[in-house]
Amino acid sequence: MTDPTAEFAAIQAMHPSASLHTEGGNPVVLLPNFKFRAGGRAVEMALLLYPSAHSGYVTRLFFERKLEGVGKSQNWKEHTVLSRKWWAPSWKDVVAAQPWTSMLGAHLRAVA
Amino acid sequence: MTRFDRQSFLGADSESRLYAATLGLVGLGGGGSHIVQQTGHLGIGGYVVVDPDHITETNTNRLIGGALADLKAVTTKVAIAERLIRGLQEHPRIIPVHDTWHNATGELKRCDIIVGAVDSFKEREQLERFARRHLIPYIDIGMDVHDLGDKTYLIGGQVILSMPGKACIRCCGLITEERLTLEANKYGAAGSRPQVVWSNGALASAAVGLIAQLLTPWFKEPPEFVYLDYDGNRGTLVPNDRMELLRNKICPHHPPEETGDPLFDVREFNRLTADLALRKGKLASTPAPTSFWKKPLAVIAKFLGL
Repeated sequence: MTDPTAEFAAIQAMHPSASLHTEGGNPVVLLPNFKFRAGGRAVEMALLLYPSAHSGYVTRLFFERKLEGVGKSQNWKEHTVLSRKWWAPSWKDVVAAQPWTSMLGAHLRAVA
Repeated sequence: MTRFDRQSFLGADSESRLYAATLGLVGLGGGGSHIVQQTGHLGIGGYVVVDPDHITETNTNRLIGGALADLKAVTTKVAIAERLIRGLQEHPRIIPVHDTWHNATGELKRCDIIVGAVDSFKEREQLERFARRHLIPYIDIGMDVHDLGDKTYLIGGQVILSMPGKACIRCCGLITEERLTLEANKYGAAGSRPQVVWSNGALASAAVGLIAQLLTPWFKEPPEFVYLDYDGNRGTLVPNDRMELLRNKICPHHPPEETGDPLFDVREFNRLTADLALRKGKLASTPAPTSFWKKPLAVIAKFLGL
């Protein structure tokens, strides 16, 4: 069982504008203007890390915009979380029992 | 005498209450199209109708208001819904959204009640969560045909009224992690599941009954939580066994602190309001043409660098 406060503190150390919310009673981390590499180029957009089960996946990372055909990501679908529309590819088996910072990296490998 | 005389028992001001209400309808297929028709008859005045699809041949066994001529015209389901409502209401307020509901949240959050007639568990759960955040009653309808083997089939379904603070569709056991996982393994594709017009009609009728109970003074104490089971083989619609048990349950899946829009941004609000106005036709989507006498002035101003 992870401690959301400690996990969020680690995320915030990496990305100071991150904010912690809840949806369905579960913690959700908003990462505004997050910079990462997708398909070999630099991308900046908001991300939403859902570190517990959501929509049939053990954990999920939602993207502000669809990055279709980028990296190994496939089957992008729309979702509404925190009253906003997000996109997520089918990227399975990123386990919940790991630090949120590692989880974020594991999800981003879908579009690397 | 008005056209609503026969439903005057709903309450002295029920006509104006129903006309003032705005209903969000997500999914305008077999179930949703029945709701469109019935609420049009009932006298609901405002509608946000949402569906990304157009009519196809396999819809014509159950899509209320859809005609065979619509196949050739590739008519959208929202256009069929709008046509149906306008045939029953003199001055309806309709916002048709030919898109997924994820692109209609600005419009849906202004509704008095949201009805979900969607195919997947994922969509059901997210739509309910959205409705809860905005303190909007959510009514879910759904049906399925179960293969019992030996060429025997059972038509089943449910109608759930999910109110803020009360038991939700997860509390009812309709949404489970197992079901969501199974669905995700099929990449969320609901597939072309069997559907028939009368079962959709039975479920939709029960949902419209709940809408009337919520909006009019007909019921002294409007329902706070309803979970009905439909058995299409027996032709019964009865309270689920869990309904009494869940009646006073405090829902753990939607804590009160999740109420409201956590990412509210006034700039986003202004953009949404402008979008809404555009959809309602209050604003033109292109700038108004410049009057002929203003054009020379504009040229002179540009020349002077003003």
